[in-house]
Amino acid sequence: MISFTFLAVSAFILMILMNLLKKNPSVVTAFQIASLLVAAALMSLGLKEGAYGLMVAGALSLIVKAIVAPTFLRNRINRYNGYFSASAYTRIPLTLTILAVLTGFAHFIITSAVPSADPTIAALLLASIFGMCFFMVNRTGTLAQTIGILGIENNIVLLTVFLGLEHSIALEIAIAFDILVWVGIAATFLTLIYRQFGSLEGAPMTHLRED
Amino acid sequence: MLLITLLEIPLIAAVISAAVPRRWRWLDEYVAIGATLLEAILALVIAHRVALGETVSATWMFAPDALGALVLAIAGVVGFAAAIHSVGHLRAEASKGILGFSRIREYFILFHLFFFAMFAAAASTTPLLTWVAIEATTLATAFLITIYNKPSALEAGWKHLIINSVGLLFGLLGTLLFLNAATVAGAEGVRITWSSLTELAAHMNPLLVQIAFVFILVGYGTKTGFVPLHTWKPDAYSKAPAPIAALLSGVLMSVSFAAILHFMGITNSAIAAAFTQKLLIAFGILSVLTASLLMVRTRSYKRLLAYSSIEHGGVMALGFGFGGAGIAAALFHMLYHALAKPLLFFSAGNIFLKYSSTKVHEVRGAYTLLPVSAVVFMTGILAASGMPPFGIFFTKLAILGAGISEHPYIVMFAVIGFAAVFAGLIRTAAHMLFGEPPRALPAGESNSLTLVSLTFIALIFIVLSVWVPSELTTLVTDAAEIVQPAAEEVPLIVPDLDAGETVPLEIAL
Repeated sequence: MISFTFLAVSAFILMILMNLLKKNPSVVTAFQIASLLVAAALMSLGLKEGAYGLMVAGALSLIVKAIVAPTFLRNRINRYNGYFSASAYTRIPLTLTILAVLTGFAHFIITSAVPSADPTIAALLLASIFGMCFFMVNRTGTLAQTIGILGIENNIVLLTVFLGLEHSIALEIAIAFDILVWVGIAATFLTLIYRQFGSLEGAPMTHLRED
Repeated sequence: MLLITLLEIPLIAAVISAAVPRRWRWLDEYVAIGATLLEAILALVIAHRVALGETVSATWMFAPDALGALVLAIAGVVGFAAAIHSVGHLRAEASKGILGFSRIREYFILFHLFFFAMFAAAASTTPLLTWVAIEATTLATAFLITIYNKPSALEAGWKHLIINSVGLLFGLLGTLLFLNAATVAGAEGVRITWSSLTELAAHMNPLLVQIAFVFILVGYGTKTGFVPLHTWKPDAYSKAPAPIAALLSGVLMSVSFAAILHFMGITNSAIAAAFTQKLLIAFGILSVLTASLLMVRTRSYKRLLAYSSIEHGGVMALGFGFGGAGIAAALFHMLYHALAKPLLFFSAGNIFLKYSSTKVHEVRGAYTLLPVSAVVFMTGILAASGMPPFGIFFTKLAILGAGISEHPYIVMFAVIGFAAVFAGLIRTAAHMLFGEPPRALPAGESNSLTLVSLTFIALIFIVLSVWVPSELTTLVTDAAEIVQPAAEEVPLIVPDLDAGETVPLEIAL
């Protein structure tokens, strides 16, 4: 059984890394590692407690987020020359400062209201969620927005598992299917965006004006 | 059986639409109209049965309560009109070479999947399944918005996908926090439903419930289009085909609002209602005022209608926030808005087909070229701006009346906002409908089917504005009780044609 402390700390560090990394392939790799951790956490907890639903969720998470999604994203990076992401809107010191503030805010929420066995772990997971939101906002590329959403979902799943919430297998499958369809749609959009604008960056997307 | 059939029909219709070959393209149209007609009938029958106190269910996951049944009825009726209008609108666009067969087939597949997701969301018994279904609506509509494959449409579709996905992830976080609160309060097993959450609400950690509700409001509020979470709306509505914009505005907004209201009812059972009411009032007045300012200066009539939707979302939020009679009034407002917006978007779609432009200054003399669409457009404008004798007038009045005693300044600012909305809408409509039309454009409606949909929706809207069936009143009353579980008789003023005057309608909330 993988300890929640290891999971939470790993998720938090990966979130910070994703906010600091400049190259899209590296960000995708960090996301893939995070997804592998989520899948491993779900399956090991399922094995430990004999919870079939968790094992199914873990397997689906492995397939969708650790294999399919990174494959799609790397394919788009290679095909559409998305090797380099544009610089983030904020420089590293400000990025780290904002992440620190978000971590403090997450800690405040958890210690104030969310009953859990270990508030520190829950706070790290909630901070990872907020950090991925900031990642999406702070990056200029459409790839980063895609990875950000999947990263937020990863951390929500980890938080759910840590809080001990159970779902029926049917709902686990429905959520996994939802994510799979989302990945497919996002990948299609990235293709369309590149064909239309010649880039995966957000800068050329300026056609939405008061018309 | 009824509910299973309602959920199966759009899936079967989507499969048929996907399999239709080019030489049988007419089959897409017949399937769309036939399927939505059946869906409308089933939805109304289900709503009727729920109003009579029956339980209509399909497995433990689907069993609409009064709020869900109301949304199902709205989706069914508006969906039928949208299907008819879609057929006419797409025929006209195909004849102009704007859309080919494959795009039209794609449209109908996604159209049916969109309805499946909305029906599932409205009928769901569990918050998680509601989330999955509403997320599915985002996925279904992403490509519908980009159907024209233009750069601006693609941007609008991407913006819609990203912003709504992030919003719904916050909604998921809020949902999970509610489930955590329920688990700590004693919920067992995996089948935590709306009713079990409500039963356990009094035992939940109050602070956790408050935080969870904030995430819910931010999450589903993004989907509903509250300011400042609304930025995707004007772009998506202006770039989507007219029938889709009508569905996004009239039906999908009701679906996402219903999710918020379910959680509001649970929160109100856990803590004092003042918490949720203050949040909704804040989002409501912000939405009304922002939308009214944007409406005054907009140059696109489709964006104008999007801002109008934001304003009406704000009005509903105010109604639910004020509480008391405001809740029933807001539910009726949801219904009337869901009928009024298709009137506007459908007729705006006809105007676009004629003028090939969404810019207000390029549309003149629409009444000369498109008399029927112009009259309906003006009717929708008057209704949306809150003029009598349309239902929106009465619901706005009731909402303001519900809030005047405890929130006089909010009501005052809302009235100022309504005045600005009226000015913006009437000014735009007057510019578009009157004056000398361009000489190069021939007079006449583009397609008779689009007039059928307009007439259908207009009739229903006008009839319901002056006559409210007792089952509908019962449904709204029961839905209001879900939102604010407290017994209080308050009057809702509605017109009584027989008496020739307005009389109070007693509703127990």
